[in-house]
Amino acid sequence: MAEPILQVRDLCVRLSGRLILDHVSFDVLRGRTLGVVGESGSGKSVTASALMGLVPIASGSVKFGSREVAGLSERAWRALRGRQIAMVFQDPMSAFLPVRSVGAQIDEQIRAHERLSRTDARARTVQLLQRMEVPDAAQMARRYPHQLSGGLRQRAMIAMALSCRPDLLIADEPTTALDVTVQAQILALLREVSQRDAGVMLITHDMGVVAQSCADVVVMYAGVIVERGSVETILQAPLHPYTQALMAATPEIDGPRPARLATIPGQPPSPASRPQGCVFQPRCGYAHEACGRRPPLRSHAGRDVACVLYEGAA
Amino acid sequence: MSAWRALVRRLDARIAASVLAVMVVACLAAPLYAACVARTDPFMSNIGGSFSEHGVTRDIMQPDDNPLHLGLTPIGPQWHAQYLLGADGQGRDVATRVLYGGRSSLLIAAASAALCMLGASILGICAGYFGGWTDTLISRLLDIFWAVPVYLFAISISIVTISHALRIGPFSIAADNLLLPIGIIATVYLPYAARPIRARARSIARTDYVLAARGYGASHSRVILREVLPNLWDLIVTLAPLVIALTLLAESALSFLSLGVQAPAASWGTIILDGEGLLYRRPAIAIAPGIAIVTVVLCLNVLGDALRAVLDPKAGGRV
Amino acid sequence: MRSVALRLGQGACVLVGISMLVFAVFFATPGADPTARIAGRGASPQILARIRHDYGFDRALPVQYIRMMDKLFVARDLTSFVDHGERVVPEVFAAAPVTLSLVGGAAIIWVGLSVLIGVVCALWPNGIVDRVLMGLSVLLLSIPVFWLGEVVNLVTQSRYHDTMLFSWVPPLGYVPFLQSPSGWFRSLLLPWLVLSSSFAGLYARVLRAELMAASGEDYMRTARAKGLSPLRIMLNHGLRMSWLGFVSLFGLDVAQLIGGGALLTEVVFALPGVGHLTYRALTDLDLPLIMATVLYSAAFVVIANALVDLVYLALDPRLRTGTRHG
Repeated sequence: MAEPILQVRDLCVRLSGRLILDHVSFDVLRGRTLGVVGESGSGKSVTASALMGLVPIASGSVKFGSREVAGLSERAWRALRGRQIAMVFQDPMSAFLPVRSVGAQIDEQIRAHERLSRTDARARTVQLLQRMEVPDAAQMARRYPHQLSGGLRQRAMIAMALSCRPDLLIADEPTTALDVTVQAQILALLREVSQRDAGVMLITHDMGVVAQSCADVVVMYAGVIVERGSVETILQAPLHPYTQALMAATPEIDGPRPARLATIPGQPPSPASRPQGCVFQPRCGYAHEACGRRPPLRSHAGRDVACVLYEGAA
Repeated sequence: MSAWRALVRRLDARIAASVLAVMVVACLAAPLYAACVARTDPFMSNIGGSFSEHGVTRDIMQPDDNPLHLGLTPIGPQWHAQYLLGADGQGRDVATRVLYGGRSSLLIAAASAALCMLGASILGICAGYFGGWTDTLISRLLDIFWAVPVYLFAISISIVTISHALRIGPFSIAADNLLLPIGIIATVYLPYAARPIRARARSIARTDYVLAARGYGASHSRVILREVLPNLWDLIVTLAPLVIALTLLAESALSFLSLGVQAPAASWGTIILDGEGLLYRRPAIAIAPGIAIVTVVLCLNVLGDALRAVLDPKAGGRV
Repeated sequence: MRSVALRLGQGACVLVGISMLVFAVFFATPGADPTARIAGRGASPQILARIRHDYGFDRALPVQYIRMMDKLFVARDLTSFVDHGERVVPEVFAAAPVTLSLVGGAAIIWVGLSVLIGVVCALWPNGIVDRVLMGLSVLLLSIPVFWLGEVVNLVTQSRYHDTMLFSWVPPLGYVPFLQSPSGWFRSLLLPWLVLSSSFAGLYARVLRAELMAASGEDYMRTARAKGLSPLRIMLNHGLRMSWLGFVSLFGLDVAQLIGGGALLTEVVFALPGVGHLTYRALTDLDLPLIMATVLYSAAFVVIANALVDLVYLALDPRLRTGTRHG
């Protein structure tokens, strides 16, 4: 088993009094990309923010390597951010400051964490851009975000994230805002990064993206992890009704075109209206009495799943 | 009206509104104060007058305390119902004049703000709703006027109208008519109020509900009255206190340059001007109306901020 | 290059238009006829007729207009109608440095102050410091500038002039920089502070609002994720974007002030600047002086607008379309 870069145990996050993340636990292993899947509002992005120290952690443990980071001071978090944990955002157009050149923004991050001269920082920036397969990197570094194509911008974003050789790269929907042709390239790049540079945690709502580029997957719903395991296991035989519904809602690329794409009836609950028992119960076709109690994640058929259907049958 | 309730809940809005109300009521009660408390005529020169306190009669104009006792200085503030803030250069009761001055200042400020908002709404809605060349023409004109220094613009119109009265055909407006400063100040702040109204009207004109209303065959006037105006209302309400604050400041500046309210009438600006000559000896004359101006303008600005916070929470205090 | 030429052309058109407007309004104003004024009280009809002829008031208005423009720009010997023989152009050029000194210093103070206040407030929003500074800003915004000037004069010229604190304050008036740099500074320090007060309040509020609006943007989140300190984030990212709105406001305000909008401050502190001069020209209905000051003022507004556009180009690369390298 590969060594864990990140261990999250029972992470809870509260925002304005509402429980947004409810005892979330998972590991990111070296060389294996972890996919975090869920609908919008499922708590994926809040998880990322919590791991970046951008929202306060209410309780639980977050370990980088062997270092516990939950409860660190803001100053300590700042030294960690960008240096050990870096983040790539959905829309590279709005995530870059439009009025400074891309290179200057990458230099800034390098110089914020390491004592380097301007020229040295720029040299590293150009080198990073080259590694991200940006053509004519020295020229590109001098351009402004709006002068680059969407794919190049996202490559520059990843270069910036990797500029201080972080242990973990969190990519929050990194391909959603890009053209389909570019999406595959960026995913391939991220796969390479996970093998060569850092652990990657890929946040997405797209099961197809998970299938393409992740080794492990965590399925989140309403701030709770409902299923967790390796991608092969879960994609081949999803157990949790929510995972099954999510899979059914994703068309297969080379399968027959479905007459009608399956949808999940109802709306995901807001943090205020979260059900007492199983969080998926109101929308679940299998709901019955036992669902009034919140099922814990239990190991079943090679993965962990939080559903009463599989309790006791291990 | 949840906005109204939210406004009432705000402490700053409550305080500002109360202080404003007190100021307005006090100024409206000026004749009462003059007749019952100060017992003087605020507009009549009273250089030879005297007043008595505890049986001691004192001249209002006192000899200067220079060695030769040349010249006269009005008495300063007294702990007495009369001449609470002292007398001005003509022996008139300053406290009474400040109250009377407030009447003119507040009246001019409110009236010119109302006129300005009315004109700005018409211009802004026409430009924003109809667009095209109407918009280009009105917007360019507003831009040019806004590039002229506000006070110099007001001074120019004042000089043309006040020093020579205004004759438009058979109508003539005397130089001391309050309509002149009201009209002038309303004119110079037209662009300030019209530009945001135009921007909002423009975005409303492109909404689906306006397009739908036009599609049903509603006339322009009906769409403007039924669809555009109701959606502009919160902007107009938010702008109003800020415009009154600006018109009040402009009125006092014009009057300070003796181009606003004309003697013998008084406004806060003219009283500051009266006090300028006696500034070093009797500062109360110039300071009192200034404090009144600052208080009212401050309350209006606070009220405007509170209104904006309540009506347009997303703007978050954007000016 | 072509856009620069276009701008200059537009500016020239605006100036011509404004001068014509001023000219037309002046001759349409009742009681503005300069003949009687030049002749003085009780002049005989013969004298009036001679003056009318000498000054060319009997010619057609377009001819008079061309002659005035010629005297103003080409010969530069246009004289006042009111003060006999007083040349207008040197008068404006004598007043300009006073106003430039006043407005320049005040602008530095208000920009510095408002950036400080705006950034501090945006760093700790809704805290005690934010509330106090924002309250102060509204207060500054609410004080009439001429009254503040008078109160400052009262304190520094009279009441506390002899104390240690204010004994350095020179008497009201202007000291040219070349005559005495320290005197220039001392004579202008208080006018600077008074003039900048309301602008500092206004700009601090504008900047705070802009920074607060920016703090929700994606690029600010990126900056936080990069591990930068809050101050760095505010200065390098927030302020870099908020400058844009700031610059257009600033350009217009400074142009207006240089063009005579600082009139009230100049009057209260007895500074013989352009605002003062324009005010005198207007109250005397002295057309040559009005023409000179108004054109001077309009020229500044035109120049300032062009400068604002240039600064925009420098600050916002998105506007530099067609450029391939930054």
